[in-house]
Amino acid sequence: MKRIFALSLTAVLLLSSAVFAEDFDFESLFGDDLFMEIEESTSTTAVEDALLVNEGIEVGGQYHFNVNGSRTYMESLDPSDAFSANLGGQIFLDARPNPDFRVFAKTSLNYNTNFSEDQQEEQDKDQKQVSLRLTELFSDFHHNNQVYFRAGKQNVNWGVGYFFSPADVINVGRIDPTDPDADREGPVALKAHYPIASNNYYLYLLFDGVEKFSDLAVAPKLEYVMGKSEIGLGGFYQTDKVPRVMATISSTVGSFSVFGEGVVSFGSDKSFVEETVPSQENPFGYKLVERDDTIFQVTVGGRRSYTDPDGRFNFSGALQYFYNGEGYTDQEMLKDFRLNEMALGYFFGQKQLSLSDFSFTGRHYVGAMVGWSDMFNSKLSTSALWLANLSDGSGQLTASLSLPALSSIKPSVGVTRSYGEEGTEFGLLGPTTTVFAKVTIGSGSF
Amino acid sequence: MKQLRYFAVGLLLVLGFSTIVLADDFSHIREVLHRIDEQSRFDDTDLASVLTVITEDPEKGLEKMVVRQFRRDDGERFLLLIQEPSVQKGQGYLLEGDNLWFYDPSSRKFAHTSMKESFQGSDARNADFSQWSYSSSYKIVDYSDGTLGKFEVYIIDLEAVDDTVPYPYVKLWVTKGTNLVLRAEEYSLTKRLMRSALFPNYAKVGSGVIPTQMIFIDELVKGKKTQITISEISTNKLPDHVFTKAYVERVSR
Repeated sequence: MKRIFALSLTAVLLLSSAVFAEDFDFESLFGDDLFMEIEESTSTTAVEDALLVNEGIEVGGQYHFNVNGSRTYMESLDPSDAFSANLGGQIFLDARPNPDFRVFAKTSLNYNTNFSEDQQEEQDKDQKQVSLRLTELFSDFHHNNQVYFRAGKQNVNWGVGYFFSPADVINVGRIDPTDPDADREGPVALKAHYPIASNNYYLYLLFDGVEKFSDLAVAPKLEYVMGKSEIGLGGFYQTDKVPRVMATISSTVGSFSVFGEGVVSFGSDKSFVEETVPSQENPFGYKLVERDDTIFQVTVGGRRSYTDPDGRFNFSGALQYFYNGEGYTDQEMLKDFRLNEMALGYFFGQKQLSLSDFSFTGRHYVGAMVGWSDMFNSKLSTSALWLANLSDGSGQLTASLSLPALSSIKPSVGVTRSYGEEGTEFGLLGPTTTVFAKVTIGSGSF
Repeated sequence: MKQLRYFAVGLLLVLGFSTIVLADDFSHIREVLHRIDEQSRFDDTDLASVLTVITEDPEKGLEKMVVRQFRRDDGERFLLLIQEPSVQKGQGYLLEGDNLWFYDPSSRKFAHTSMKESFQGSDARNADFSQWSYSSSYKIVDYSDGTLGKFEVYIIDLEAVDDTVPYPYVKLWVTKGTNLVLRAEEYSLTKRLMRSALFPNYAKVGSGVIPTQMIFIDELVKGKKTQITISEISTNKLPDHVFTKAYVERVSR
């Protein structure tokens, strides 16, 4: 392999004076016999198997160190400043003793330095500064190269949405719409994968929170290829949770990658707030209710990258709409509840409500992103992200600009504007504007 | 009046005959395109190889990528697995008929992508690694005889008849007798030269041929080019499970 690289490098360097095709010396390039001998492989191991074996354990990962400063402006309040440094990374180990067995582990390590003026107990501070998290730990094996198993904690490929993925009830972590490419925490599961031609059949057994056999969750999924599209059909069943069925589609239309998800759940695992007459039982005029009706969730979206021939316009973009049947129809009641500190304190203090109950409270959402890298062949890149809850009229718009790097020091600046009336999802305390600067120092993968 | 009628009939006959002659003139070029397609397809065997991709960019300098390629033309399948650089190791492209997926090992997701997309920011496109047909995707516009280096060639102008190919207009330099494409110029809809490709080396593989060195020159960005060298070519039968998502997931980090 080194020889091939050396030969290729030599050829490139020899030809490096040629900037366009016409600059090549065709007499020398096409002056000899066109045919060359093929190097016969001497390996006794099949190529496809050789890729599944490592000598020893492969180690790799990613390292990051960045410094962040921001100032937030809110109406009728003094600006507040924040400054922090973040140090961390990921390390993975990949052991492949033979083509039939593999063990993979990945951990995330973070060391947070809090520069705020809040004083904390030294012990408490240490606990918050260092965090070590097991992201993945699984083994791969198979039965006769027909059924493939992955057992352990693993990121699961379930759902096709970019900003929102209602079909993904398998992964422990949910997509963060403000950082949709970030890793999500997966479940502890046994995956069985049976591919037939272009189609795939999956069965997951999920073990998180399982104390007895009947707690096991089961999730089958089928993927069918039809023309230029892939259709997915799946389901989820666990004794104490509502059953769900889902369908996904991903395809390409021209240069666009398009996707869609539809989910039907027979009830909801969330608790919902409802207005009621104040009483001794419901002192704040609110009560919690469960839903056992049939709930629909649908999302559609697309992604596109575009680079013009001159390389001046390197655009990437994504747009997604999400209809959330689990959202509240009465947004005014919800706004009042969010602003009622006593009621909030009561329900969250009693742990009758959790943060997940209060995620995606709207019925209609939109996410959009546009990125422009190497603007006009410069070292500047910019991006804009818009997330909106159309039901309560709130949203968040973030624009950032990456400045030219100095060695491995990469600065960026940006602004985030949250809008919406008080009590809305994105404008909880009223409209806010945050300007921020971030410097990434010596970060990279290995 | 009668003379005018004879003249008109004669003119129509001459024009018609000329059209037939011109059509016949393209027939052997059409045969050349058929032979190019035939000898670049491997319907009876699988192909495995290693691609060393070196991109020279005036802004970014030299970048090297090593890609393991598995290819099965019967069924329109290929698998590209990135081996180097280590940052991108485990990323893969799986083609199954009309569907091309890109696999990202960090999210463990397969995403639909387009054959017309640039391959990893290089001057090569995803379509350069798949099979497409000159004879069925293009019509012949014109041709001439010429030489390229020491070889006598046909210089053929083609126009796309479908949207499966990355560029609508192509000019090919094809060796006479051996039907090897030595050089290609690819043009936009406005007939602007976008990319040139040079194929200075080939290897005989069974009854077909495969270019072992390809140079793609970006004709719009001065000094930007990509060289792909193909090595470790094997025609051993590959098991079916190689062209599956399951294999991509197992082989990726």
